[in-house]
Amino acid sequence: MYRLSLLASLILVSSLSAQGQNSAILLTESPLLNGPKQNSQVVGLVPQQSQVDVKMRKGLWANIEFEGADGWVKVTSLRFSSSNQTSTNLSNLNTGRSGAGNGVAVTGVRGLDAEEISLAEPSQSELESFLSTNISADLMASFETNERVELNPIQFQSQNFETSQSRSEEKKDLDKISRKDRQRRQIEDDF
Amino acid sequence: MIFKTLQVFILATVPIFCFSQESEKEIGRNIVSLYLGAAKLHENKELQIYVNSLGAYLARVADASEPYDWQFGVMSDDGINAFAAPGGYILITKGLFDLLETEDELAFVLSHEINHVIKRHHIQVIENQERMAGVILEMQENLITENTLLPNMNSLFKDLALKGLDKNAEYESDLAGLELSVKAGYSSSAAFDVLFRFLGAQESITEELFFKTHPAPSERIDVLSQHITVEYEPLEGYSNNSKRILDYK
Repeated sequence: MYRLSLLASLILVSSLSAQGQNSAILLTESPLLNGPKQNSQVVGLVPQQSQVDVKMRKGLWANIEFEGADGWVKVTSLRFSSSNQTSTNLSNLNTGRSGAGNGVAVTGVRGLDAEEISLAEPSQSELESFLSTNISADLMASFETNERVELNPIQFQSQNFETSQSRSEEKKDLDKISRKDRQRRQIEDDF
Repeated sequence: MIFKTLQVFILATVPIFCFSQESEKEIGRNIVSLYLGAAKLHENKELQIYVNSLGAYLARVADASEPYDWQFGVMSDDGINAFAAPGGYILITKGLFDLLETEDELAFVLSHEINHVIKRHHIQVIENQERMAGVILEMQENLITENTLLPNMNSLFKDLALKGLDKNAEYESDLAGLELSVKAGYSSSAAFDVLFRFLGAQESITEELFFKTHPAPSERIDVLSQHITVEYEPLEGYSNNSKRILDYK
């Protein structure tokens, strides 16, 4: 019986590992709360730079697990784009406020691709239809009932992410610079 | 020879070519007509009016009525994408619209695109490219006008769609989109709702053009987190008509 239980435990552990955990890095030391609200009870403290397992998200709060402790921290205290990220299974974090886990079925759907855009011809008739779309007075009146707020402007700091995408963009820039250099040399040669 | 070389150098390093406001609008219309040539407007007129009305409201909140001809539309494309064109013309795909669950999320998406227009991100790319083309024309014909260049820019517009903008333009527009949509009365959580939804969608359709022309959703989330202030935390609440978007699905 003991041997069977051990085998069952091993199978259970391996299946959890196969599922993969959503991981993120906690940027600053954060209290672990027992609910997704600022005034929730503190149930622990998570050190800065800890790698945590992220189970779900509700609005600006994330439910995490760290060294056996379960609780909530602010989403904004987490970093998701790490080169050490071993799991990309973060789709369950798009649950928004409801937490209902409503996934979006987009598998296999593809939109306009590069070739279709390259071959596109202008459509004057579609442009005219687009430009002639009206606005609804009723909707505009309804928008005006929104609770508008005044906010301090956010000061943007330019980023320099080192990712494969940025490296591929750097290559494109270098190619562009090479083409411009060749054009400049051509002009100089012509004159 | 040396004098000509210096002339080329000087002309290439100063901003010799800036489009007029009317030309920017014409450029924008040209771009839109190309996109709509690739994928027509969605047939649902009520949907078009809804998106156009919300866009017009957000533009008003941004206090950006002049000098733009704000116009918003939905393309009949099942993929995920959004296009902003100079002059105030913005298109999103039906696929992107269907991905969104609240009006707050739609407000964030449209606000992001509005910022691209206000900050002239696409025009800056075009002007930087035209700098060299303008030099060449200047030397060949000693004459350069906007009318000369505009009809020959279709390949340039397509290039824009295929390469996308600088990553910082996208990050900046995420922040501006968050700011504008919240000022307009929408949830501060909506920006994260959208970006996490993109993150989930990307796992299924990694080849989508949208994900090739934008920074990774995880990076966008991190940049947003890096910049968002505590001012936004109590503003998570969704708008009164948050679920109205479902009427148009």
